[in-house]
Amino acid sequence: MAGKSSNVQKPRSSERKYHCARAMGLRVELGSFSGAWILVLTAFFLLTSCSPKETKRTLSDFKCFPPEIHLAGAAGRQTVVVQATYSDGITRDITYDARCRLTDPRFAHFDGTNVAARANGRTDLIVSFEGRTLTVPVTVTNATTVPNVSFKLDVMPVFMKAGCNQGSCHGASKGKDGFRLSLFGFDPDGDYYRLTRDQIGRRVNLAIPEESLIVQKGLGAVQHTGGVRFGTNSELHKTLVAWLSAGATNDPPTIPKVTGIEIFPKAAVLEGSNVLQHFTIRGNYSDGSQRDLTRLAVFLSNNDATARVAGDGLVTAGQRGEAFIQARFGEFNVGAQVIVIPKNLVYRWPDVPSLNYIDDAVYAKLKKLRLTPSPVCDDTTFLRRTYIDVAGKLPSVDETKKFLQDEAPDKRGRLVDDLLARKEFADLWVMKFAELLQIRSRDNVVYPKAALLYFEWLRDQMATNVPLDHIVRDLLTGSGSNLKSPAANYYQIEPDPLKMAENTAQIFMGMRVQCAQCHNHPFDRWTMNDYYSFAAFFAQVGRKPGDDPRETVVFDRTSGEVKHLVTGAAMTPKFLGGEVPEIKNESRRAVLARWLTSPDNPYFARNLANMIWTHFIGRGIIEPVDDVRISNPASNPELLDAMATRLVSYKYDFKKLIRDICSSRTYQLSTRANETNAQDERNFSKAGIRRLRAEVLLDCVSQVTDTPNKFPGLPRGARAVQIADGNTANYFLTTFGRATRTTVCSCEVKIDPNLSQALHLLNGVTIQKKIEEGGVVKSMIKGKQTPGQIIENLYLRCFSRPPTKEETTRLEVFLKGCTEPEPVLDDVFWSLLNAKEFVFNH
Amino acid sequence: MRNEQQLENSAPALHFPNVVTAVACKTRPWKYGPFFCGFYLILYSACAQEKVTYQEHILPLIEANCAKCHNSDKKKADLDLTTYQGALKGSGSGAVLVSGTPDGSKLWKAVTHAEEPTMPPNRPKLLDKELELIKKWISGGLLENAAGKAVAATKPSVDLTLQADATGKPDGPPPMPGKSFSLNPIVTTTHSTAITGLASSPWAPLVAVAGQKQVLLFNSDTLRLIGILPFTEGQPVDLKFSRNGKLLLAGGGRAANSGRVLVWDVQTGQRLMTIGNDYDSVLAADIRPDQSQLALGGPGRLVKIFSTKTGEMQQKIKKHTDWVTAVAFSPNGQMLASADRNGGLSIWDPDSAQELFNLTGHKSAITALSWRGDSKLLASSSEDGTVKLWEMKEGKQAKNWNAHSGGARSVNYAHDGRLVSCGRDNALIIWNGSGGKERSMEGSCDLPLKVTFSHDGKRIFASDFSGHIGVWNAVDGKRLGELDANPPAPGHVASVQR
Repeated sequence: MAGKSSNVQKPRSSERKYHCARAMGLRVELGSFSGAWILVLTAFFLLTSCSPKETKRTLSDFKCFPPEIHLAGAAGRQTVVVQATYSDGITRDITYDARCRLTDPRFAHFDGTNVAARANGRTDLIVSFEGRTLTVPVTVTNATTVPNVSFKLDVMPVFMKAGCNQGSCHGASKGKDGFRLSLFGFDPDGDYYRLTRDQIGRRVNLAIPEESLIVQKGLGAVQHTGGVRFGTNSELHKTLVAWLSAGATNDPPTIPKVTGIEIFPKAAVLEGSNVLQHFTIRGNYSDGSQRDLTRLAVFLSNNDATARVAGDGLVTAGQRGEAFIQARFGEFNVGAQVIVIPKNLVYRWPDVPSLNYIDDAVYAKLKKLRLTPSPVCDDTTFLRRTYIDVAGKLPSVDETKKFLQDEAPDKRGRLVDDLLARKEFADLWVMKFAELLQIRSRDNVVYPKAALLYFEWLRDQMATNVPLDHIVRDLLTGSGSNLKSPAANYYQIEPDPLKMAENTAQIFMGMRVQCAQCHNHPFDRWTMNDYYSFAAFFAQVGRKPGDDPRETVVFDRTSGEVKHLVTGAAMTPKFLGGEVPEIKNESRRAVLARWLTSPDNPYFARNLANMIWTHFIGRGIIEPVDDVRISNPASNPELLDAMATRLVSYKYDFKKLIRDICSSRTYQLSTRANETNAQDERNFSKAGIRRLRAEVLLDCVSQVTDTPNKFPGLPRGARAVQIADGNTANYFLTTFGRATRTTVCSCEVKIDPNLSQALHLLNGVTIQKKIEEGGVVKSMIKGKQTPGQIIENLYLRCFSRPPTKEETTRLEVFLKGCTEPEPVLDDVFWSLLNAKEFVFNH
Repeated sequence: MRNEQQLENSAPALHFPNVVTAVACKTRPWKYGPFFCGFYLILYSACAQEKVTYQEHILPLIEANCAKCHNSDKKKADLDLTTYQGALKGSGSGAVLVSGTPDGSKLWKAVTHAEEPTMPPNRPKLLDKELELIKKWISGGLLENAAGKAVAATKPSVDLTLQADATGKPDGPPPMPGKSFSLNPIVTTTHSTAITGLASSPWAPLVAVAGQKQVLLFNSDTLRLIGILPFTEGQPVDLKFSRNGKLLLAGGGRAANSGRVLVWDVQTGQRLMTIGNDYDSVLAADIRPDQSQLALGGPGRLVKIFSTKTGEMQQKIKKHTDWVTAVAFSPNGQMLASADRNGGLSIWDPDSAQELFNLTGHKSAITALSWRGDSKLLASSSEDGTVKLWEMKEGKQAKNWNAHSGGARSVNYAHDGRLVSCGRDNALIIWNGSGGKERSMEGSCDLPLKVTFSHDGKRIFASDFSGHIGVWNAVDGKRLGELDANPPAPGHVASVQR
């Protein structure tokens, strides 16, 4: 490719000169970009692959799961998994290879994978492997008690395991074929009623339990759309029949509840395909007891090609990659990460420095995946990247020169600090939040004045560095005139309590709960109850007209409830995934605002951290940022947690978090891939190439062409990121996918390139007109600059770097003997603005 | 002819493997001459005897595997495989069978999982030998039956139709079971279960109870078991006496598998006919007072009217949007009421299946229907907790009251126009003709499911969720006793038998 780039078309006639110059400009750019890339890559490849040191793998640790065993009742048993970890990070399931024995077989029995209760007492499971031993304490209680089959603890899990209550079957909101179960069993009492006391005589037959329809259907003995769900010898079948034979009773209210489940092991790094790894699930109950749920939990893999999981929790490794194994039991979900790497892969961690906790977390993941991070980018790339990301603009020619001449080792850090203190930084985030808050005028609902005041309020908050949690609390509790206290516009823009709740969950917790309005969420834990009781926080928001016809006064009424769509019940406010708060003489919104921004809400800080990270890296740790759900796990939860913790400790001063991100080595990586990370999109082993977002692109074009814009309602020279009213029409911005601000979705901002964008840049009015209007080249010629100086200036303007020698040489061909260099230089300028290097942040 | 006969006789002694013979026959027919050609003929005739036909081989497979969706009622994808004509007609997207070429037949591709959608859905493929049958049937030209004749509908052996004037109380002594009845239970179980079927004869001291795979008959005066009628087709769900009390019918079957209505002669215990060939249990059934027609309904959402004379279905009413939970002919025989799980209630002309009235008002499943003796009022009970009375002149709601909070499960008219109802509040209440509360029965039940007056209106019988049948005095509300719906076999300790 490097050779190809030198094959530049030469102009054959003067008429075609300009066209060719344009084409050439593009090609020069393209060529130099990819050529350099290949060189670096090759050099890197040589460096890394020529010095593999075969290190002997040694056992570094081995563990037995669960770490202690408590068996209760005559049927008490626990599946045991033994996992070895080697010095190179590889893990191996050694359950069958380790020697396991019980010190006192009077109390329990070990059959190779299970420890089963025999008599009350204590014993130890001694596990030995390669000369090392481990002791797992085993306690047995109530060994003579045969517990009754419990509906909630034993039977409900059958419906889950057999798939009866999943969303596509009887768990659908209307059920299936006339029979409904609650989705994933969120309503056991309702299910009990429907099984026994709805369509009485049909579903259960207590006289001849085996002929009960629920048994016959599950066995597939009668026509069943869902087919065969279990066999006659299965535990599921036995549990059902045992419950029916005992009279199909419901549990007393004192029955212990599941308080949580655990998965063991939490992670595995498997080497080679077809390698096996067992997983075991343990449930914790409110009475302090524990139970092996491996046979009752539902296992799912988000990547079957890498790790296939069977119903009993056995994972089979497939091709190289990463998978998330999810285990679901009742309302609880846990996950374990499985990484599969090829056998005998030669890999050496390059020992690159870690600059802060972000690098630590990223490197830990890369090591597991056997990925090598790309090298650090050069100063010019860093300069341009940081300016765009932090300030939403390009560095000026002088700023670039100054930075490049600076020799101090801390100059990158100082640059970030400098940019964070600028007004442009606040402008950028005001715009981002304005998108989430949908600041946009609408006829007769949101007057332009209200939208403007709302935007200005937000800008003041950002400009004075008000902590994010404060801003959020002010928004949620916004009351009074929407013109006098603009935060109240939060409730003017969206007057429907249900939508308010949805938006609040999506903006501040990154969750899409909309599904649960009509049915329980199919891919997450949210039920209709959760939805409506969360919406109940907004049930008493009142609105009345103010003195000004454009004014609305938001206040808290003392009455008003949100009703459940199905039951019609007035819902008590309940935090999403949290508790039912006690509300005494207080606005419900205030209570919600307090909880939302408190450490009790595990989602708020994580969501903000992820949102900020995504802005700088181009990809969320949870992607997309506003789709947090169990089935969409974080690619690096440790990183996300670390950042969230920092953000809280910084008292939600997000500038500090941004400084951490920008000073991490991870942020400073080159976009160029190496041999190992070419396919990696999720683990931040290289920087992403991102198209500039619409507003920033227009601002950058205006900046380099010296052409101020005029947007409605803003002074001349204002930047596109400062547009207050999302309703402001602008063809360029619309073409480049700016947010319409009609929804809170992160998908509003589109940065995918498309043909109309390319055509607009090539043939549309913006670029050509701005070049003519700004007269940048003309004024430089007037200032007696040589064509060479002008070209250098243009490169510095657009790409924040001087032209390469090759580029200079090739451009000189066009200027040689040229008496009137202006049109040629204008074309060079045009070419630079149309280059990918300009349109993308790299 | 004679030669062939001889060869056929001698063929088994040859012990030639068929394949070898066939190959030999094909390759060198001249060498083996008439001997092997004769053998060929034998093979051919053997094949002919193994003709695979729809009625004999394929329909049983379809009923076991496909009929739940592809039956005449449901017709998923517009495909009905339960009739020969339906199978040939194919689905909404065209023929599914191409005579002679299995590989060109969509049905074959579906059952062999060669093409989406694979059938049966969510289940493993049919057994190889079953697939082989289907293949042979298609290759063999999709024969309907061995004789190539249309199959005649199974005609009932007796004609039950009465003259119009014979639909009321019969002359002479009221029909009661004779001495010849068996008292041996088909099943005795350790536990009892919910009883959904309970009916009392309009004229005789006779109460019928739906037990496990059997219908039990009790004398409502003495409370003694006087007969057991086997219902081996599954579980009886709904019981009804004919208007003259001479017939007893039981609708039921095996849930999600088969639905039937059986009709017995009350006096002899003889099973007179079996009606219906549904693919799910019948939930509601009734016989017209003149006994010319029988109506049934169930999860198929259809009301079907059969002729008792021919056994053929005369009408199929597609109106209900949910499971049909109750059907009842008016005592004058001119109307048929049907109700569903969604609160839908309609009155039909049973001859034409024209809808006479659509009675809207119930907000939840209708659980029972009962006509007043003069056919002018219909009572309905519903899970919405109300009992409603509907007049039949204009088809309007005449009365409506909240009878049982949580849901009314059953309602029944006495000859004198009083009503009795029960519901999820565990109460049994007698109401006067305009819905005024007359009396509650004392004590409580565990979710009473079905309630009925005795023929003379003096007693109340109610079945409940746990399988008990309570008996009350309708005059003072005192509890009189109980019927044993799970009688032990004579001389046997109670045990589960299947």
